[in-house]
Amino acid sequence: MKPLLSVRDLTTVFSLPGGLVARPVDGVSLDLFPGETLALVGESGSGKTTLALSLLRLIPEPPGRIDPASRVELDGTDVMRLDSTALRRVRGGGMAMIFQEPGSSLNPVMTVGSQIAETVRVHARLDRGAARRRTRDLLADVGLSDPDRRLDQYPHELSGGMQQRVMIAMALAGHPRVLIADEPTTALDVTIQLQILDLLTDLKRRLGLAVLLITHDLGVAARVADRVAVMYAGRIVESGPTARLFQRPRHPYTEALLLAVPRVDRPAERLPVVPGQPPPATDWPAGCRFHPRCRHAWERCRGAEPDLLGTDQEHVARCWLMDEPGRRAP
Amino acid sequence: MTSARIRLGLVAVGLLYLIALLAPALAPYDPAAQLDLVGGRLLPPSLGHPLGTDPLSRDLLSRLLFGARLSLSIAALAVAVAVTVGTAVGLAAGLAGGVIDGILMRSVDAALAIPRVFLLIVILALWEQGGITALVLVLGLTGWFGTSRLVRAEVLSLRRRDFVLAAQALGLPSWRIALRHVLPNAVAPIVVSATLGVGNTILIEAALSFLGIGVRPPQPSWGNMIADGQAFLATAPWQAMVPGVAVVVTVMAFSVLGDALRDRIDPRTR
Repeated sequence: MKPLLSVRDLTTVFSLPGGLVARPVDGVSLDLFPGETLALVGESGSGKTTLALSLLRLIPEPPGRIDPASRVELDGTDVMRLDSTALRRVRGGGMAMIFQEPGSSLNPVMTVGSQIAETVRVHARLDRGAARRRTRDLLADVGLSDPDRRLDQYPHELSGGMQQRVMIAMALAGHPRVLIADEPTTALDVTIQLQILDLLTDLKRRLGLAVLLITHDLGVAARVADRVAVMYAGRIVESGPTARLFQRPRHPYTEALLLAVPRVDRPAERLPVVPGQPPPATDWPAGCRFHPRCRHAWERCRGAEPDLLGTDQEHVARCWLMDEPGRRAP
Repeated sequence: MTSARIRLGLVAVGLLYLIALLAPALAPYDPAAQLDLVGGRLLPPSLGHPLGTDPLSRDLLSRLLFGARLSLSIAALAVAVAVTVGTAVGLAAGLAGGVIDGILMRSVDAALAIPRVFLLIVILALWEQGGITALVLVLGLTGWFGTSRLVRAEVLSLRRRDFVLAAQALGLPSWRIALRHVLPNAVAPIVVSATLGVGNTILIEAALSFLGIGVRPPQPSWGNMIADGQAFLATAPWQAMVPGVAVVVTVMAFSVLGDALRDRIDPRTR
């Protein structure tokens, strides 16, 4: 099957004051297939959000810049080479994005209905009445109760979960094929989180969407993702089908992340932590970027960075242990 | 507390505009009619002339009412011009950023360095035939610098807000984001600055009319009424005091309203 979204060597650079250069996203490649959810997991500062914004070219330029060699192909069209009109059509029409804080992602002085209808009309020639009917249908699609009343309410009149549903409705207004969800449940209560995640899964099935779910929460990834990609220091360090990746993590970083998740079936003493700090995006370590924090690291890790390695094409890890399993520390 | 002050300010301002609007119905005489140049000059208040008559035997109350009409409309129109230009410049500078922002804001800085009253006097003295239109335009076009800086600052913070990013992510054109998402969220400070601006403009207009280059006789304005009355401060003090009090009350009404609105919008200044 051909990927719907194909990202190759995406690199985003920021020029900081004092001549520093940050590379929060550094040579990322990934594929997203129609009807699947890919979870992109990683710590804060690993470059997940910058990656998402780069896909839609929403990086402020300057100080940011997407490396001209980067390719982001949506159904064969290279988003990086579109003019501004075509780019606008892709934003919301090809790929739509929702954000972490639904409360601040909605315009506080516009009603929910007019905000969604505005996006509807930007992407389709509809008169006001038709746009309003479509808006109402969208609100019903995302499971909002009493959609007719919601149309004329302001965002502050809604709960966080309802606001996120509105945001999702708005994202669907332009009939996108890819939905990028950046920490869509982080700001919500746990019970509401599940509802929103189930809604995303439901929409993915009903509309055949491809969902790129960005999260730092492995539980969220486990619940909804078909595949998981782990990001560390601007790179994808491991990717594979969700079940296999969680059962047999290959990269020591993934392993450490999984061990740091509290579990009900294990006595809660002290959770193991990943030693050290994530490196700053201005100064990625030479060699394997995880080696300063890795308990298995040897000379080879300090000297050169591995590619994504693996005997199984679907489950790969950027780790020399794939090459020399005997080096694994006990 | 704040809402009481807002209500007070709104009532006062509303009443003033109502009086101005109804001036032709409320005024007992034609404000320009010289009723009795021989025996009717500088009459003290009486039943026939509640505020007396001026040095040219015109009814003072009628002149005060028509003066309100002129002063309030000149100030409102001038502020409308100023707010429109200031908002447009501030929005453009804040959204464009970079070189355009630099050029616009340095020009505003330069313009703010010229004393406004001095500039007004020079322009109005040279543009003698301009009449009220000139006064409105000149007051408006010299009054937008502060607003533009205010709007720019507001836009700079708004354009980094999540809902602006969300609108961009969903493919809305930038003009639409500017006019429908950024601008409406900047309305509150604009309203405050406009309200305070009206009071300030009334004061400047009165000063210019006092100097004889604002509203010119025989049209009544509070400023030129004070000028007419100042020669009689010893013998008929109410001639200058009545329009003077009108100016003070009006400016205060706008200040109270503007300050209260600002406190409501920005709780930190409370």
